[in-house]
Amino acid sequence: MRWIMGRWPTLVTILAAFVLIGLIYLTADGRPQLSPWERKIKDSIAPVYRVFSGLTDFTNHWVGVIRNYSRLQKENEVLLQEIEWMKRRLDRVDQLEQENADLRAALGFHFTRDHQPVAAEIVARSPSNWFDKVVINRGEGDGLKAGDAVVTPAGVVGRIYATSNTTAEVMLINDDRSAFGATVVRTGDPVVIEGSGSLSELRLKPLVKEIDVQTGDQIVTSAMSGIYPQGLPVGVVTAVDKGQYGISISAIVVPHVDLARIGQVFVLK
Amino acid sequence: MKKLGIVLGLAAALVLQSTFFSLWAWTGVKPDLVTVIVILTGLLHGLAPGSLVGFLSGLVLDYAVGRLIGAGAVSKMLVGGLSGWLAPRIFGDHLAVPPLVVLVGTWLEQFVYLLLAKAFGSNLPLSKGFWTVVLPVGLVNVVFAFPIYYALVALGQIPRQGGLEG
Repeated sequence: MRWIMGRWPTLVTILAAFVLIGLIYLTADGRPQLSPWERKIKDSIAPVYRVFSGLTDFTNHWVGVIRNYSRLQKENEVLLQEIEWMKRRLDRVDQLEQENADLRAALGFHFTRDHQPVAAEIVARSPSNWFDKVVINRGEGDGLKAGDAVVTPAGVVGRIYATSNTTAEVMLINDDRSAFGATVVRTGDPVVIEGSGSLSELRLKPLVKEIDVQTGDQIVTSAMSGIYPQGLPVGVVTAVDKGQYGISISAIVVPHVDLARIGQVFVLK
Repeated sequence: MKKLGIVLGLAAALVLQSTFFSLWAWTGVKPDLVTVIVILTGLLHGLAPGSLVGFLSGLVLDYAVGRLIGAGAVSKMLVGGLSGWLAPRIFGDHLAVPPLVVLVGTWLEQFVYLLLAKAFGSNLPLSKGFWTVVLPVGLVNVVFAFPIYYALVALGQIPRQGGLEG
């Protein structure tokens, strides 16, 4: 007993070190399940994030306006013309959509929309430079759950990892834990897209022995991804590594979505 | 007052890193203001306060990140303590000390974190991580060394001689 009492600082330090190592080990891959009090903490922090996020957006917006005023004026003229042209195209698309629906009905097909999009804003990101994630201002209260796909019109962003009542944490496609099935558009070859930890790069790995992939190939999600609906744009192949003997192909894919700058997203629930 | 100021400063740093600096990042790297505060707390207050502030703020930051909870606590405790241990041994009033200690301390903290992440199975690339995160974060943090140093000095008239309290 005296031996223990005489060495308590050393023993406490050793015990704390073991507890800490255990904690790091247990949380190495993240924690998708939050305890009730953790959810309450996240819900109560959300308004603070929203205020700061709003101020950041405001600053960003006005700095951008001042910096790019003359360019924006010219761009505006071009865009107005494009809108007119798009309106005419949209009328034609409406017509074709109706035609398609009529034909499907005639053939006995049932078209069902599997995913309802929910618009959300990014209110915070990871404070770390090592592991990125985003926090959105929608949560369980809006019907979101872990696993829901998060997208923008440009392409895939990630999937919901953990939720509280008013917020959700999104694991981005560049996260080193992220992996999903995709397809090379040109050849239809199935591939796996893995996160590299870098915001501007994803890794492509083949799902079958022989695949044909080239620089410039477009990658979209496949039905086998299990997370994302089929056909969503992922990115473009920028480099192909055929390995030492040309049998272990891998490639670098640059995502279509600028993951560092996204502000609004859609959650497909 | 001093303690409350440091706690409020750390909370503000955490929120700014999660919001403002995520969009205003240099070469994709945001400043690690929490580490700057930890290093300068060690420099101004000594080994024990530096280690304690480093451990607790690292733990909170790890929790906000959601992964490897404890890794940041270890790396920040290490640099906070080291900065506090070094403080009486270096010329604390010299103008070059705060930015230099922040630069070297940030590099060390980020490198220790990277090694811990690798040791616990993360896929982070070691050499790329060193060049694209460790080195630039150190340089970005130097920009904030003087404002945060003088804010900490101003807080409750903290003595300027580094580490004399510790």
